[in-house]
Parts: sequence; C-alpha cells; structure tokens
Amino acid sequence: MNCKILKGHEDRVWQVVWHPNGQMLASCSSDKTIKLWRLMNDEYKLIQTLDDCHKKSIRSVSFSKDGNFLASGGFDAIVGVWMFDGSVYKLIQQLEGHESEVKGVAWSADGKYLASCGRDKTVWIWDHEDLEFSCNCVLQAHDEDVKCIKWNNNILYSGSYDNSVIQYIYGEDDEWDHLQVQVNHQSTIWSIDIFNKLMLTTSADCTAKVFAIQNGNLKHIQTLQGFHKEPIYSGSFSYDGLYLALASADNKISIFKKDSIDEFGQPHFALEQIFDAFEFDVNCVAFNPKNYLLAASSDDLNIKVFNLQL
Amino acid sequence: MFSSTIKISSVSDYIVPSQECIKPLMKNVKLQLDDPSIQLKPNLIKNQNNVAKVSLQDCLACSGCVTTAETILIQTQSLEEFLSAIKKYKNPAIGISPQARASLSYVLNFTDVQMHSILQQVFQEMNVTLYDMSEYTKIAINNSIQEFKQTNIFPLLCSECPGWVCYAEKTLDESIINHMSKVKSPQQIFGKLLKNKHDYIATIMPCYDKKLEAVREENNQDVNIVLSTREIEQFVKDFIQKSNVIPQQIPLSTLAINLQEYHNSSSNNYLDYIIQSILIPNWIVKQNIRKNKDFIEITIYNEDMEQQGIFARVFGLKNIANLITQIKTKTCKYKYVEIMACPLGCLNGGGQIQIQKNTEKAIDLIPKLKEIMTTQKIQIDNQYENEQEMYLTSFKHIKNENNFQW
Repeated sequence: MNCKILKGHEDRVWQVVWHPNGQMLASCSSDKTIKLWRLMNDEYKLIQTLDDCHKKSIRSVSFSKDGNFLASGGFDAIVGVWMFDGSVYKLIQQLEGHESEVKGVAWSADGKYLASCGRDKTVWIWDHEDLEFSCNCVLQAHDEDVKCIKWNNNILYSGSYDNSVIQYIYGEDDEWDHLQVQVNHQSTIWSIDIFNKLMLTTSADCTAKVFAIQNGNLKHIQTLQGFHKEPIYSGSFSYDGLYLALASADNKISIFKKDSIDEFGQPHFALEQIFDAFEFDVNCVAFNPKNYLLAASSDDLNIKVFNLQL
Repeated sequence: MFSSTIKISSVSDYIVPSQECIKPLMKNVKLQLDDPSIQLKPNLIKNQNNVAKVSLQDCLACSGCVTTAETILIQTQSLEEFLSAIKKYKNPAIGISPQARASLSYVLNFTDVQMHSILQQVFQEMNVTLYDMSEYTKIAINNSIQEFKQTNIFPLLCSECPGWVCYAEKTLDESIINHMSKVKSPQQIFGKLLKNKHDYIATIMPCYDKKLEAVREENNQDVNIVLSTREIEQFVKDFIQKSNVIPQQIPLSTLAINLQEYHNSSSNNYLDYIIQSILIPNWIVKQNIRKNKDFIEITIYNEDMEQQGIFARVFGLKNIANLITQIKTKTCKYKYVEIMACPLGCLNGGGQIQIQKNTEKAIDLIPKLKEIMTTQKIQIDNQYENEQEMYLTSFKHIKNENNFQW
C-alpha cells in the first residue's frame, strides 16, 4: 500500500487531524508540540511547529470547520486557541478551567462553540465574542474521565472511562441538557466519529460499534468485533461513508467497506483489510475530508498517511 | 509495545493529584480495605513498596487518587458512622445549616420552624443537642466584614465554599489563592466554639465537599462528621412515621435579608452584609446581570451618583472560570466577590435532596426554598459588630508541587 511517513515528533503522537480543505494535517504529541504538515505534490512538508502553548503532552487537536481556528488540549489542563493569520497559526488565547488533563477538544460545525473534555470528568463548552473566548458551560454528567468529544451539528457527544456516551443539546431554557445514549460497551469509550446519521464508537473492550442516530437516540446497527486484540483507540468514517477505519493498541489498522444495506436501509460494513501499521500502539486514524487518504499516528513517533486507492 | 508501561520519565506529564486531600484519609483507608464494596483503584503513586508498573491505559483512564480518596471519605462520613459514634460520646452535638433545613422542610412539607422543632425531637431522643448554625454564620460574616475593612487585597474572594476552595487550590496559582478570604467557614467556627461544650460534633450541610473541609489539617477535627441533607432525609422520615412528633412553634432566626433585589439568601449572604456595612444613607445600590443570573454585579453610588465600588456574586464553575480570567488579565474591578461552586448557590448544593416532584427544575425550586428560609423567622440583628476574635484559616497552593515518590 502506498504510504507516506511523516517524521519529526520526538515523543508519542496522540492525534492527527485533517484541515477541512484536505491539504494540511495537524498532529499533536507528548513532545509538547503541534506540527502542521502541508500536502504538496504528493509529499508532506512540515510548515509550522507550534510550541508556545503547552507545558505538558498535547493530547488533542481540532480545526474549526472553516480552518481559521485550531484548538489544542493538553495534560497541563490548558486549552489553546490558535488563529490563522493568512500565513501561519498564532496562539490567541489559553483557556484555563479544567482541573486536570484535557483529553479532547472539538469545534462545533458552525464554529460558535469549542468543547473540551478531560480527566476531571467534565465537558466544558466555550463560546466567543470578538475573538474573546469565555466559558459558556461546565457539564458534569460523567462519573469518570471523559476521553473524547464529537459534535454532530450543534449536538455534542462525549465518551468516557465510565463506559457511557452522553449527548448534550442546547435547550430552550439556555441550558445544555444531557442524556445518556445506550452504546453497551463493556469498557472505556476511546473515540466517537459521526458521518451523516451514522455514529462510530470505539472502545477498550476491543470492539467498535456502528449506530444510526434517530430522533436523538442511537439504534445499534453493527458491532465490529474479533478483529483487534487490544483496545481500539480511534475510528474514522471516510468522507463518503463508504469506508471506516479503526486504530488499535495491537499496532494494527483495519479498514471496513460498506457491503450491504439492511431492511431498514442501514449500511453494514465488512472487513476489507487489516494490517500491521506501526511498531507500537496506533493512537489515531483520520480519513481525509475529500478523498481516501488515511492519516494515522502512533506511539512509535511516526505519522503515516496511507493511500487506500492505489 | 512500550506504551503498555508508563515510563518514569513521563510521569511528570500528568497533573499531580493533591496529596493534601489524601493525607488525612490514609488512616481511614486501612480501616476500609476489608470492605469489599469499596473498590480501590490502583493507588501506585502512594505505594512505594511495589515496583511501579502502571499501564498507560490505567493511568490515562484513572480519574485520580484524589477521587478515590473522596469516595472513601464520603463513605467514612456516613449516617451509619454517625449513629454508631454518638453512642460512644457523652455529649454529642449536631448543627444544621439553614439551606439544608429548607430542603428538608420543602420535601417533608413543614414550615422551617416546624422542621427545626421536629429535628430537635429527633436528635433529643438520641441525646444529641441540635443547633441552628445561623448564629455562627453571623460570626463568619462579621469576621469577613472586619477583614474586608482592613485588607488592601482586591478583589477579596469569599472562601466559604469548599468546592471552590478545592478547585482553586488544585488548579490556580498563588496570585489567585492570595486573594482568598482567610475567615473560617461557619461550619468550622461552629466546630471550634462548640468543642468546649461537646465531645463530638456533627453538621448537616447542603454539600458533600463540606466533608473535605472538615478533615483539612488546619481544622483540627473540630467537626467530627458532616452529613448531607440527602443522607438524613430517609432517617428523619422514618422517625416521623414511627414516633409521635408534634411540630412546635419555636423562635428561629434568619440571616436572610429580603428587602432589596440584590440580596440573595441562597448562600450565606456575605456580599449583602459587606455592602450593608459600607453603605451610607442616601447611597444607591444597582444590580447588573452579567451573562447570566449566576454572575451578578452590584455597584454602589453615592448621592451624587459617583461610583463607590463594584462587587460581584459568582455562582457555578463556568462563571468562576470567567471571573478568574478577569483577575488574571487584570480587568477585574470588583472589591469583594461571593463565590460558590454550585450554580444557584448553596440551596442548590450537591448534598441537597433531589426533587422529583413533577420533575421540578432547580431554577423554579430555589425561590421556594428561599421563601421557606425567611418566613416566620426573627431577623437576626444584622448590625455589624466588631468581633473580638477572628477565626482564620489557611490555603495551600498545590498545583505545581511534585509529589511523586518514584
């Protein structure tokens, strides 16, 4: 398989995400930096290293939908906000409030909100006015460490060490109402991805599940199990929903392809391939928003971009 | 796979749990280990005898030794513990906070005065003397006024709320901690003063974090046990059902002032009294809602409408976070801020009885509880008195301490 290796980080690479234009990657690492890589002539060039915000590992990074903002979450309990000034990303604010390690950051689709979650069991929602960010809400619905957050338009989902997924909706009384949605995972929820009305959850129980989001509830479609022997840290749908990829602590990446539609019109996925991708844990997989390039990052310090269409 | 075992070098990558919170618990931990119902998560940071082998996943997934300690603490400060302890002491006492009592009154459908008289009977039966903690709150308030008049640190931040104190100590640096009021909380003043008369002291509070406050080292075990409103609800209900209690009209006082819209009795009114202490006749007080109802700004003007000071009441973590940003960016213009970690204040505390009546929302419930707190009460003389004694406490700054032993 055609694969590019992006070297540069000096410690484990926690997450890698695509710029919405599909031409740039942001990666974050325990080396306390964020690196930006531009795709030019089929090569990835390191164009910027952001190292002026965090004093500890950077666990999560997220582009806003228009690409103008970048957010980062670190083990120093800080959420960093960066703005694109036409040529580079510049740190504009450090949001303080979390009590301990920040595990996830995510922008809402309209860019109005930034959410962050962490080991203090909370989800924080931040809003902004004139580029000034302030806290909109602190949600304490989980019993344990919150591992991941994902927006679906303006509905937020969070997954936790308490094995649950919680959904947050902005209610009429100016409050974020929360509701637990049933995923029935037996261990930590490590990641949530959403494509149209499909949700993909991955868990330390070594399974991944696909759900249909229906009127605010989840309807279970498929459980992908028996493929990985270790926790599945990350899952990603391709831009068209035709593929999904999983990343696991067993150093492998698996790719599934939509192969049938059930009687309710829901897609089912079948294993396309599973391969040894890195020498150590795979922490993250992310499909490009425009094509079948799959970026992944690992504890072995490397980032790899696989081209699934050879 | 090198990530399955965390490397020693990366230990400092995590925020150190606050040992100060754990310390007083260590003796209790041993005691509780035989109880299989308590699940102890691997506490390797404390364990120096074992070779440290934590899987990274454990470490990332763990919500911290502090939390485990807090869980144990809540279990050691239980109603069962209280009931067995009072048998061992000659002269135990229990104090109830007005917020906790309002919650009980509402749920059991009594007036606050009736409720207090019933609780007197409940505890009398067990040879426990019941106290209304309002009087001790007044001492804390007078101390606070005195401190405010003497300080040159602005803003002065109210430190009665243990949720806020824990949060500040764990996450904020010295520049903020130095702003915190040094006055002991009503609970700790109550404990300190009654220690001379009673050999065992309990409190009923709207808040679980008050348990953490009671075991802080500087508080010297003045208060032996803290029960939340929720924990005693069923016990009081059962007592009322079993025994023939007769609600009585007894004189009961309140610190709530309901005269002005800016007054807020959900917590202990520090701000109202501090403002009152500096007001001069003909001065004007204006209230301004910032962002939401839990972030209130109160400005005082003299008779010529010249501004004489801005104060704030800040409830809930999100508003606290925004206040801290103001202080850090040096844009905070307040002289005194009453801070409480719970949205809507202590009446909505985490230890209060959860209301299931028609899925009533907190925002609708709190005004009713405020009403209960003020009706049929004698207004405590709210003239400020220069207290002879200041009851002071201390805070720690534990954010950057490296407590790892291995």
